[in-house]
Amino acid sequence: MSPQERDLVTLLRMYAGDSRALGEMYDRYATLLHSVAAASLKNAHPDDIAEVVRDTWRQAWTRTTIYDPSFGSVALWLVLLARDRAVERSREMPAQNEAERLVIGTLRRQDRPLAATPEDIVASDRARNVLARLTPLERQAVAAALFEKLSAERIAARLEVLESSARQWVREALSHVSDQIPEEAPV
Amino acid sequence: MNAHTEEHLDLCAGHVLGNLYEGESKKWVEHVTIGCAQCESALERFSEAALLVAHAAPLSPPPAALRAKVLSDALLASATESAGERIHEPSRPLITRTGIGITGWICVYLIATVAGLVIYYNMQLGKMKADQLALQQQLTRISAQMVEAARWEPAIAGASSRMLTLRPVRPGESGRATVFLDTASRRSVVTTAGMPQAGQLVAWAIGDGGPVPLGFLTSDRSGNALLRAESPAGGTAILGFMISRERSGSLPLAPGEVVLQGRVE
Repeated sequence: MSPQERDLVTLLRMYAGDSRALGEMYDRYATLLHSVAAASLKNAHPDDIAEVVRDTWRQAWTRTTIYDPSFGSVALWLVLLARDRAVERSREMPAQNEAERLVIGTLRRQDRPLAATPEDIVASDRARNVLARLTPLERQAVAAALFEKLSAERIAARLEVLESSARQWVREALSHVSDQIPEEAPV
Repeated sequence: MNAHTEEHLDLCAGHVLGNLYEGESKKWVEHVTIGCAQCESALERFSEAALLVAHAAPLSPPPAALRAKVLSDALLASATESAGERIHEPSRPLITRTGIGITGWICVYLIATVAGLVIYYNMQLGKMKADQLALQQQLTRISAQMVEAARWEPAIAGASSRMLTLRPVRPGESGRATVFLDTASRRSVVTTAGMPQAGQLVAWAIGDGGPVPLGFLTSDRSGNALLRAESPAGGTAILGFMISRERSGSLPLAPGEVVLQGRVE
């Protein structure tokens, strides 16, 4: 059974209201979603990141029918849910200067983070190795598109290039990453 | 016209990453709905690639307490909604207020207050109506007394009025009486003061044919009494008046013990 088939079965159990399935799915992707949320919410407090991830799982539990397998895997669906929620949260958050951020950060209690599992560490290393083979512009373009949900137009503005170039870099980045996947073990 | 181009691959990448504008998304959907093998293949490859890129995010494990919170959220949601309802309906508040709420209680309070005021004012209105009726009755009584007093005014202060004083028949007895006689109408007003309480007192007019009873004198605690008497029967001239003490409760034909008497001058 592939990871996608396994996730589909788990999602169906969630659909039926099986909270243990939610626990299994959480154990599978908690670190990935938290890492994506942290990458999307730059310089955010850990509590804000955790809240975004909590909202993501709440949404996954209550809105399982919005998943369409023809547009990607369950894992990617969860990743994009977390990314979208993080982007929304970053727009809701008031702008803080560095001093405010540090003061507020000292007043908040922080839960102790879990240690990353070996599987998470392996997957992360593999992904970084693949991205390391991209050109810097491709890497920046695809990272901005995925973690910040920037459109091609805004990526182009940031990188000071033509929109068509930004669009091309994103597409080529995904294509190059995809080319390397068959050489790797399933994620 | 809608043939596959490299631009459609760009749109596939944007679609997988979820950052297409509405117009771009519409354009992409129009293309893929006709069936495009290249795009279908690109979608599959790009979604796998996007997931791998996501794994490249700096590792940031969640806090230990988050798992319990997530599962707790799910259990709370399940406690209020079935799985089917979860999917088709937007989330609802977990706690639903029941009962009439604060607004309802305010309405109840206002209704009770208004009802109390209505009852109170109805009671006050009833009491006022009773007082008004009593006043009307008293006014009627006073008016009748005034009419009666006006009717007897000529007997007391008219031009044909005579006043005489009745004195005790036996020396040493207490009490006195005054009689006002209208010689024209032959009506009279008899008043007494300080009469003894013993027996029933009866006023008499003395005519040519003898005494004619005028009526009982009902004294108060001080022995004072008032009697207004119409013209005595017989039509004879009235020569004097007397007051007798009677034993029986009915008006006698002849006087009993005479206690006061006087002559018209």
